[in-house]
Amino acid sequence: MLEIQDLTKRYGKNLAVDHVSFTVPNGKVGILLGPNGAGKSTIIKSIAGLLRFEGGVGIQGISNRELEAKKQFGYVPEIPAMFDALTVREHLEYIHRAYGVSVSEQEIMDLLTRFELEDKQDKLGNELSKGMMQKVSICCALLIRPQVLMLDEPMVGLDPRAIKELKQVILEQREQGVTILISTHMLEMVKELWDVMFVMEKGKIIGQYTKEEAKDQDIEDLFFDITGGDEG
Amino acid sequence: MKSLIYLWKRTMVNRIRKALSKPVTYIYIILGIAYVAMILTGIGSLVMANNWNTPIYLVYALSALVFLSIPSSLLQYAKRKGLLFRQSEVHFLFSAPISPKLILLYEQMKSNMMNLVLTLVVTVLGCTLFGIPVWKMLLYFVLAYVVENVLEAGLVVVLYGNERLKERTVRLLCRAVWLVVAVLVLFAAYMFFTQEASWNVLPLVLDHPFLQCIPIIGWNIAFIRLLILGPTVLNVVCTLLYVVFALLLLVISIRMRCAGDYYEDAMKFADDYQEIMQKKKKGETSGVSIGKKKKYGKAQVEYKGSGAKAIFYRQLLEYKKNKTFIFGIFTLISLALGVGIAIFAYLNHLSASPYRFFIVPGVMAYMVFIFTSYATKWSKELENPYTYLIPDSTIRKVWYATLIEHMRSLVDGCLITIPAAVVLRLTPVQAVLTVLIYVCLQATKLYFNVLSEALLGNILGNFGKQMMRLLGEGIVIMIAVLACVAGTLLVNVEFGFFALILSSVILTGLVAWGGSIAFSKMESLQ
Repeated sequence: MLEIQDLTKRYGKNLAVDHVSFTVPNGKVGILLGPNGAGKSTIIKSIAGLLRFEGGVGIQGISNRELEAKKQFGYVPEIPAMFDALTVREHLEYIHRAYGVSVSEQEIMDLLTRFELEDKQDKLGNELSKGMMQKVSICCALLIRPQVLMLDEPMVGLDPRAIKELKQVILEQREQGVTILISTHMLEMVKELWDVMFVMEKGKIIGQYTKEEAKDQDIEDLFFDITGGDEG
Repeated sequence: MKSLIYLWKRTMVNRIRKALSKPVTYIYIILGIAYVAMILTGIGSLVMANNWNTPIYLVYALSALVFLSIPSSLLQYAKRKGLLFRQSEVHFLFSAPISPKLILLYEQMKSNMMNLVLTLVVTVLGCTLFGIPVWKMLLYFVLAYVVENVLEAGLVVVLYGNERLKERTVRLLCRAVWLVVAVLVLFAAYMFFTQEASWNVLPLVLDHPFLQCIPIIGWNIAFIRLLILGPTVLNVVCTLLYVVFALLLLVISIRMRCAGDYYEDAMKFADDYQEIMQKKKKGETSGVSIGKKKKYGKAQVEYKGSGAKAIFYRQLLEYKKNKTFIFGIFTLISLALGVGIAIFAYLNHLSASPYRFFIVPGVMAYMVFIFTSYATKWSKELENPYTYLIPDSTIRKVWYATLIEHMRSLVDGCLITIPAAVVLRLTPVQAVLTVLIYVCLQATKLYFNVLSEALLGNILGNFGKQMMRLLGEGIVIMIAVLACVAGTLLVNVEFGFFALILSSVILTGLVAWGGSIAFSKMESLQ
């Protein structure tokens, strides 16, 4: 479970996130929507422990600042940044050591094959395209077998096959009880994935729907109903 | 910890392997060894010539290093700016289950590799040049490196990783460091005016017992003196204080809670640093500072003409939005240079010299040749797809993309020439020709940059391009000087200048024509 309690973040005098609280239950996919500058990235970075903030973030009931919480938390940032001098394979090896997970050779190969990286294993970080970096970033996040997975604009830069594969992975993770939070502008891409939706504007959550509440209503209609026509 | 060791090890192995696979690395290694040998020989000669080859002079040199390094480290760590985190580290280290303190130590150790090399060099120099017994220098190498690293690691964790220090406390700490520096400077000034008004005051200051009593900085000096010169009551007491302080910091840093509050500052610094590095890679060095965005005003420009001319007018619009228009730090340097030449000429009565006509062009050629070129708007044109899409000839694109640079050269040339021309009593014609020489020299440099971009791209990196530019410029300057000498000897000075300009223009035109390949397709940059 991912719990955000009264999260507030200021950059100097500018209030970027204003007392935001929400919860994504176990085995559910939450999506965070909102126009540019709504505060989504600030929330994502706060959850990932990259920003100082007021309030609390709980990962499986543990504060996100604790190492125990980090062990259960996979993060795919919007802009992946690879180690220049590490190969794709070495990135995975590093993650495997940092998180202390036991992963078999076959599991690593399966993951690489799934994202069409098996022939890129020996490529260095600075030799990868943006799309390939994104795939490596996703593989690293999946390798740790997270209980909570957070993806910030994960489809950007991916080719159609990788997008399809990622959607499949997200559904499989949900089936396995993983809590997932996705921040995205691409409503079309998360149509069949979401369980709970949070819409943000000017640093606040202005609307929240569960799939059950929405019934058959289209995600775009819901979003534009809440935001009054602004594009996400 | 194992993951960080793995990360460091693999990074080093891959970097070395990659470097060794490039032929240019071997050239760099040879040049590097030659450079280090030259520096060390230079230091050796300097030390021997001045009879500085005794242990005390090594102590003075190390004391000076302490003065330079410790206050700046303290200030940087207190402001959470001393460590260079990369974006990849933000991505893969900060969200990983690795102790934030360990991450700090990892960064500190990485940046400290240079310190290890420096300590090693000092050890070797101590044994060979300053006549200090090997065992003493080995002791220095081990103890100085260990204790200084413990202290530095403690400072990094306590200052960078501290989550209790309020902004006000950090400000006070920074002021305290500045206060210590100010006290040291005042003390040196006091000694200068009361004891010895010459460079000889330095040993008096560095030997003074007061110096060793200054917390951290002075204690570190006492520690060095104890290891190299032997014990005195003062240096033993201050060394004890130094070691106790280092251990105390170590204990505090172990016990202190650090959950990663510094990540936010480190992440911002990593982003800013990345931006700076990208700009520097492209050669943009003027007006680039970490964390500061350039501000632009409002402006308008009327496009007169079409095709490649649009590049010129767009650049003009951008410059008009600049607070200082086309002027910058180089404008001031040019003015200072002009005034400097004028003062030098006045003091040395050079206005009567038969070679006075060649003083300003000589200085100009030297400056143009030695100074690395600052990247300007023309180089950015090569990154813009529209530069290639504009339906016009490549030579016109090169001309209009660099036209403003020629105008800047004209202004800079005037600033260098006019003050000097007044003192050197040059005729208006000679002054105008001198300005034109500067414009030609700068144009040569600029077009060699274009040509090196076109021919080398990323093959040999900035160093290779720089070498090609220097070689090309050297050849052009040599031919132009020969033309000038011939013209002066055969007709007169004005004709010599004219021959210089004419030959430069022809050669520069050829280089520009060659460089226009860079504007033919974007691929040439890859």
